[in-house]
Amino acid sequence: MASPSSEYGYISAKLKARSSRFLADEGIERVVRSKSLQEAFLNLRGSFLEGLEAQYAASGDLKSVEAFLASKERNAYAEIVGSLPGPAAAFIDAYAEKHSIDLLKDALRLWFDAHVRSRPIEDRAIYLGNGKLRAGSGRALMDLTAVSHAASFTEVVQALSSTVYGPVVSTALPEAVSKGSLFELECALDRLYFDGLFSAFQALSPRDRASVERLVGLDVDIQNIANLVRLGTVSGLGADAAQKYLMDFSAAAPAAELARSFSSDNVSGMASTLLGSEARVPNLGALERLLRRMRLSEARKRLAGDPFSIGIVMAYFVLFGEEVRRVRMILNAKYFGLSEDRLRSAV
Amino acid sequence: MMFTVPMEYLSAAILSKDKAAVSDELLRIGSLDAVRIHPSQGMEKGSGWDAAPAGAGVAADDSLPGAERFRDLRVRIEGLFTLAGLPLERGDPARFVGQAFPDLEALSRSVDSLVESMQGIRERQKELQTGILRLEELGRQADFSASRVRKGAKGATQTFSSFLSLRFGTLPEGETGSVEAALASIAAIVMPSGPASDGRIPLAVLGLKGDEARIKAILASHGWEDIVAGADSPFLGEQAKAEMEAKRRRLESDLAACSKEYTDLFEKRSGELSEAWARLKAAELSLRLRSVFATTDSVAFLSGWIPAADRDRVENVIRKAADGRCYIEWLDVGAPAPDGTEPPVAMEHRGFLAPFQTLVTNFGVPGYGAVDPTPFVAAAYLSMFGLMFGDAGHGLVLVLAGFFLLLAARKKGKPEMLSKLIIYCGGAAIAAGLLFGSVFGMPLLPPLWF
Repeated sequence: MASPSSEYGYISAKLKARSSRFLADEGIERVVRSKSLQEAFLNLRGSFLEGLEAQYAASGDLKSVEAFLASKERNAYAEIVGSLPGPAAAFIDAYAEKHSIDLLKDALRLWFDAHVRSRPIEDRAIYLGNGKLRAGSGRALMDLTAVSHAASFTEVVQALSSTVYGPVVSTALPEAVSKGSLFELECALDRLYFDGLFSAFQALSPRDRASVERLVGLDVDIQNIANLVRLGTVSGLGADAAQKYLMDFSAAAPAAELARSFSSDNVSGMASTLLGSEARVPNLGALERLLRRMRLSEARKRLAGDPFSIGIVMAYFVLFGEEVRRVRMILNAKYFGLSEDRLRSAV
Repeated sequence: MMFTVPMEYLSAAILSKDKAAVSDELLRIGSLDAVRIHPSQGMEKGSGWDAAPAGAGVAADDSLPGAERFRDLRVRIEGLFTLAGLPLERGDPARFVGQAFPDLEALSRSVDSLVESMQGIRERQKELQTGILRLEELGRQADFSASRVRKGAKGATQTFSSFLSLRFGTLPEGETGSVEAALASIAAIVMPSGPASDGRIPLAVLGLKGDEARIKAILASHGWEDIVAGADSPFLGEQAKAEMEAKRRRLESDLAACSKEYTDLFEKRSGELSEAWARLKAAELSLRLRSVFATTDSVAFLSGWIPAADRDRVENVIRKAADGRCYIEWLDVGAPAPDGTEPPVAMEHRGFLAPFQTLVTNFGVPGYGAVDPTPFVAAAYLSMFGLMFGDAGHGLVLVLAGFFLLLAARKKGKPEMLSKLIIYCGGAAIAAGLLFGSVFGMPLLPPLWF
């Protein structure tokens, strides 16, 4: 049986070298202080995102830049997975699946807007690109253009029939159409994603499980809070009903306690459950931002910690994803002329 | 050249009103390594002394912005040129020393207007890019629906795709060009569907459903009349692809024109921005130098290190700028400053030895008064490189590569040290190669050594 050093030595060195090109907080602050969108791209030079400048110079289109960013992130996963041992590769594959699910959600939202809300979608549909990608553990081909441009609900299900998402969509989409909301369907897709992630997590070695458990737990917490933020628009939701939309995991806050605090509008209670100590947080949005910062901090610790475990790899992708998210937010803020202070509080 | 540059410590007392003139003259000659004065015993707070604060660039005059603001705008101008991929011709700041400081607000507005113009070009690029993407979307939909065109009612033909619109009709002869021009910004193509008759041309117009209303309005304004579609209208096949490809090429050509316009925008304003850069740099340096004076209402003190060779020149400059109203004191060459700090180390090598000075300082700076290792480093480095490389042909390649890099660096306004070093190393390799008789690994010449 290969030792952890031989399994992870090469990939660990590679990812640590690459992480030196992350912007980190000082770099992000420089981008935030840029006087214009053009100058924001200048401040990305020298980082792993410096290619965005050329993309923007060629097209002048920020949405194209965002699509390029998303594909860059997906390609990063695909490149790394090949260097990992079996269970670790399956875990990172399962972790990367969230990008495929995000794209599927985009395609479903486009279909929903076109066929249920009767809104034009061409200006958004063009950014799905050729719209085909391999998704799920079986790597079945998913045609997102066929999904977003399907003439009926039946065609949507048909387009996804060969993928793991087919059964979920065929069950939840009719209900989404009748309720006029995709929230339940998206929650079902999220649950499918986390089920896959949890089962890949269980297949890891004990050493690897220990190194990523906390990060997975924080992911679950962030997802739960994001769902509660959306549920916040529904008044009078009881604890049992709210708990339906939350997930449980060993290293995450208990869903039942979160649901109880949510139903009694007790944000501080939720914060205490999540953070393990008293905390005064004004709202769920602030709590979500706090959890993201905790996840960043945890990822940085992992990156500096045991170099021979899957923790390094997951930490790298957490930092990668968070940096992409922040830069995307900053570029959009610069485009729309948002003030620095407001942007800083969101980033 | 064999030792570090000898330095002398200057202390000068001048009238506060002469501070600006003296600092500007010192800036012009550029010899001073100014020292920040700290209050000594007897100069306690409240005694009237205003020692230079710790932060650099604090304006002595409250009506002037600080050096940091000038620096920020100067760096912003540099950044914009870097964005455009053009070298900024950095004017000589010495030309503007002693002149009135530039109007920061006016310059900021000018730079902001440049950025707005840049953004305007990007917005046009975005529209063209969106047009290209929508054409691609049209192509994807056309592929999807190619076999599904059905004969339908007069006018818009029902397609299998609910996202495509395919209209059949006729236009008066001569209107086709106008319609194509009007549809240029929309993802729609116009294809002939038959021969002209009775002064009208039968056409098919393929577009996205979302643009149907705009397409209909444009067609109506040019005299469009709907007709019934033919049963085998192959308007989603090769003909449509060819039209889309032609339209895409036109859009890409317009996109390329925008890139040129972007570059031209900078080239048109490069003179103005170059001068602004120099003015800002001069103002920044002037404010920084003024900030190191310790002042009272009437007297200002300046201290600093001067190369011994410039002593007379500096003293004359100060006396002239202060109109004789000054007291100047010099410490002996090589003695430490009154606060015990050692003289700064300067090595001045120009021309051939300049790249080797960079090599030396990368490793560490010799102590003051010590032997300057630069000539020895140059000789040893070139000898070792030549002996190890030892091939005239490969050395020639290095020299040529170095020249190309030098030309590229000069074009982009980047440092030239590395390219010069490569040229010298190439020369050393050629010399050693000739001694060893080796040219591209072959013994083409008689060896003179070994």
